Amino acid sequence: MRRLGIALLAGVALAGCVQTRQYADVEFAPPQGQYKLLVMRPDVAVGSVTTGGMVEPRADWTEMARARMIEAIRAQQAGRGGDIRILERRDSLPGVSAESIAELERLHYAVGSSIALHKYSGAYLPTKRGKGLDWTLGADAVALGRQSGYDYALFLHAEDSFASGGRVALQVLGIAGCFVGFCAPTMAGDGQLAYASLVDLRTGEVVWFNVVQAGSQVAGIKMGDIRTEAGAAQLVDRLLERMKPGRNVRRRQDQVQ
Amino acid sequence: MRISIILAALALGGCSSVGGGGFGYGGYSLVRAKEVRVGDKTLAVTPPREWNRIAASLFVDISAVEDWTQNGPYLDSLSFVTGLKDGKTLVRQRSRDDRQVPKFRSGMTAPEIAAMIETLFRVRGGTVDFKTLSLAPRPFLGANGFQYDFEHLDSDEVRRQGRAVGVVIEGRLYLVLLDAARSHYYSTLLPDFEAVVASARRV
Repeated sequence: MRRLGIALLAGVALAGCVQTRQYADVEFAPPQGQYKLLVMRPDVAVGSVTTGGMVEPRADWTEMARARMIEAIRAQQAGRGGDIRILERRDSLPGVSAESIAELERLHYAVGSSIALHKYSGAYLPTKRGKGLDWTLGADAVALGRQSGYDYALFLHAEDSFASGGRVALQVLGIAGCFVGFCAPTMAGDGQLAYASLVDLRTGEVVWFNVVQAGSQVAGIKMGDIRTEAGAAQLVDRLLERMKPGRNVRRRQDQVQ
Repeated sequence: MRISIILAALALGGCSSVGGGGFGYGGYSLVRAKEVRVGDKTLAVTPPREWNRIAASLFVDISAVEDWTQNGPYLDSLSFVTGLKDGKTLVRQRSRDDRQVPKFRSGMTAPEIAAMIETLFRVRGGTVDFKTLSLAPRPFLGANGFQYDFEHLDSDEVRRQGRAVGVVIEGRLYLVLLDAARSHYYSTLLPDFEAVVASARRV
């Protein structure tokens, strides 16, 4: 019932910087060797920041960005030795219906939102203190693992926005105004937010989670553009390249050294 | 809309705030696995394990309602309504508000209370599809109460399932309600809900 009352603030000022932070299950060891990884269809949304500051979704940019992201993931995973498959469509996995993939994606969206809210934004849950990452997709994820034969599923969410011409013009006007006494130099411009989560399909647990946020306060200055090959590769690299093991695994590694 | 929800959930105010904490939409406190008084403190329950109590919001909540969660409100919530009086609503609302939730009336029957819960979900919860699974008599707090099972699809496209056990005693409503993602979370938390309902007593 309390969810009914969640009033989330929509206005977020993004500073001009890039930041990442990852969490892992305490017993998580990054997959190596002959692992089988299923990459779910990336959940991508790209929009234009209108003159008034709202983000207006753009279907053409979103499709372009999703295709670039898929290419970048394929390239990034190529040298890692795992057996990977990228789901470009929900119905492309034999033996698994598009509806059950969709249900899992939606559940993951709620789980990902919960991790973002309770691990990153300061709304910590006391019962999960000290437990690393303690969320699961449950039996549906285990069933997907059994039906598909894959060990892990990787979920990606990326959203990007670009300032429209009007917004850039307004900002130029704001800075120009400083010379005549009306000064409005800073306004949120472009913003990029992405997260990835790795789900162990043998247990259903989310074992690793990472968030990348990049933003510029100056309209027109881009912090990477996932509609381009280089921008998508950069984002995938920031998200997935340096997976850290969980706390207990790190401790054991430290003891050996 | 997805973009704003996630951005807002992260509440990133600049470089220092990823994981830096400080700003959420509310605090959570620990509920231990022993008898605890809830809502306006006229109901005591004993949870079988630790839960997180959601801090009440001045703008939304009323003193007769208290909410707990295990994994966060997107995934599950356990709510307690303790002695709600005639003419009061389950959430705070102003008379100017556009879409009103119905007021509780002490003469309400179980189907009317069920309809009140459904309207609350539709008006305040972003529920786009709501289905009653069953409504049956069930003793609660030593009186003739009811059990209401339902399912709903919300604007985030997640299907959720819920169970409420309630009773009207001396014209006041007492209710315990579990609402959770249908996949995994509802069935996992149902035993906790049943234990809490079985342990409930008026004080």
